[in-house]
Amino acid sequence: MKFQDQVVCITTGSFDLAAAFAAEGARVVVVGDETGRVAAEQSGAVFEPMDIRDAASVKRAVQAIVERFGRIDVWVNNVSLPRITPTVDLTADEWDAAVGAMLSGAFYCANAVGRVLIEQKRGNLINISSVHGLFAQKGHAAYASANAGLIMLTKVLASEWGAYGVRANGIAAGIVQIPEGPISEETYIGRIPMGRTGESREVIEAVLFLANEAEASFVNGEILRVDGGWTAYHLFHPFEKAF
Amino acid sequence: MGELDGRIAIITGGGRGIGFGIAQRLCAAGAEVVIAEFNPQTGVEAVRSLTEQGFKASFHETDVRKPESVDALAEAVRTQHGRIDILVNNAGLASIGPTETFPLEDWYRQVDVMYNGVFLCMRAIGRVMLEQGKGVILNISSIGGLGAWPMRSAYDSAKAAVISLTENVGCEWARRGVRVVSVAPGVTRTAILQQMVEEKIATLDQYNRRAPMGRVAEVEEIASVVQFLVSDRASYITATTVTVDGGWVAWGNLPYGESAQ
Repeated sequence: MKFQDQVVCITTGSFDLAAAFAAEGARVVVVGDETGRVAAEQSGAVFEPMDIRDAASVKRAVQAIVERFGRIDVWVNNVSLPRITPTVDLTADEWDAAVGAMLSGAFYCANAVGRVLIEQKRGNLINISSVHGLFAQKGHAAYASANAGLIMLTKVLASEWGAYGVRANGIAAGIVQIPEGPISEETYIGRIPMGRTGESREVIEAVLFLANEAEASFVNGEILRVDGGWTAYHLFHPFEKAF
Repeated sequence: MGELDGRIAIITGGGRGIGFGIAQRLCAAGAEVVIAEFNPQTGVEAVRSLTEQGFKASFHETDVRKPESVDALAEAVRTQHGRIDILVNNAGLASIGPTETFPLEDWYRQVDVMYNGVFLCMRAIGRVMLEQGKGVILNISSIGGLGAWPMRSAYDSAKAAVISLTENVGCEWARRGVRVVSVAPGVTRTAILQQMVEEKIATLDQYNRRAPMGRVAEVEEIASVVQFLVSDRASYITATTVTVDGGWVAWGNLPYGESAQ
């Protein structure tokens, strides 16, 4: 099994991702707010409470995990708060909530987990970002900026930690779930060269690949696009009009 | 049971270096490999080594610069195997020198092999894949295709063209079942690297220290990424380039602290 006995920590709610790591032999820890406890435990993971918006809480959670398991092999930052609003209508609180959880939270995690990984001289961190961190979209000021920040954070971590044999990578995920808001499924699909949204399994496979030292040992600072061609394309909408 | 069991894979320049590493890896995952090589001796030796390991492999003499040679490759493999599942455009060569005096034959040879050759193979073999409604093309680019290295304008611009081909054709065929992806390896421990070091173009230590991970890539580390990308695990990945460089391109290369050069 690919992750036999490895300690894999995942922030918030992708219980399919937790289950996928568990199926490969990992000891999975879901870290996040209490609402995830039951689902985490059902997916074969251990639950560790953490408020990602609070640096002290993150530090405490990381400490608790290390005390319990003795190590961390993989850390996946997976917080996503899509919210589509014109920038002039976006409140400062909404901005802070999105950037705080997705970007500052990822920094708090990197800050606390990085120490552990560097000391081990082993392990890797994966930030799940979005195609919206690479291409601007109307109404996505907070979400896109946080994701773009997350991409640059990933590259800085890769630059700093590579010397210790610790890798940091990101995923620019395409559309898997249609976010709530004014944009229809048809409109999203019209933007995607492959003509379909992604399946969560397809993003999970990419995470497992990046996390696996037997496969991705020299992949570092990479933002892997799992997007059906989204970020390669910038001609007309819908895609059919390109022909 | 491998994840590529029964898949037919063509690898151009598959006789040596990264290409041969990819051949080994895809064979080990169950694929049957056609080594499309310019140099018959290299091709035959590669196939012998693969078959000795119990893998299924054959050699097809190919000059990727020539449309008729590439068409013959596509036709031969389709006739023999009935299908083509994977194409790895790997054939390449590196010659470096100042642009203002760069020998024209070197320019044309590099562009013919690494840019035109990739196009010709995508065109001829892609046609077979489109008919099947399924297939994966993986182009080998380079971190040189993502930025400037003085004295390498021919190699680097050909590799940049490969990235653009990947994006363009990947989108064009995205709804027809054919994925097109690219890998941009960093400096990798191969005969070409050995030659660069022997010619004192740079020391191994310089290459090692430029990558945040403090070393060059092993061929196997490129091949493992290729396997992932050509497998069904990467079914939503197309029209994109994956760098495998230990963080070389991500890092903006300003020396600082221990990692300073």
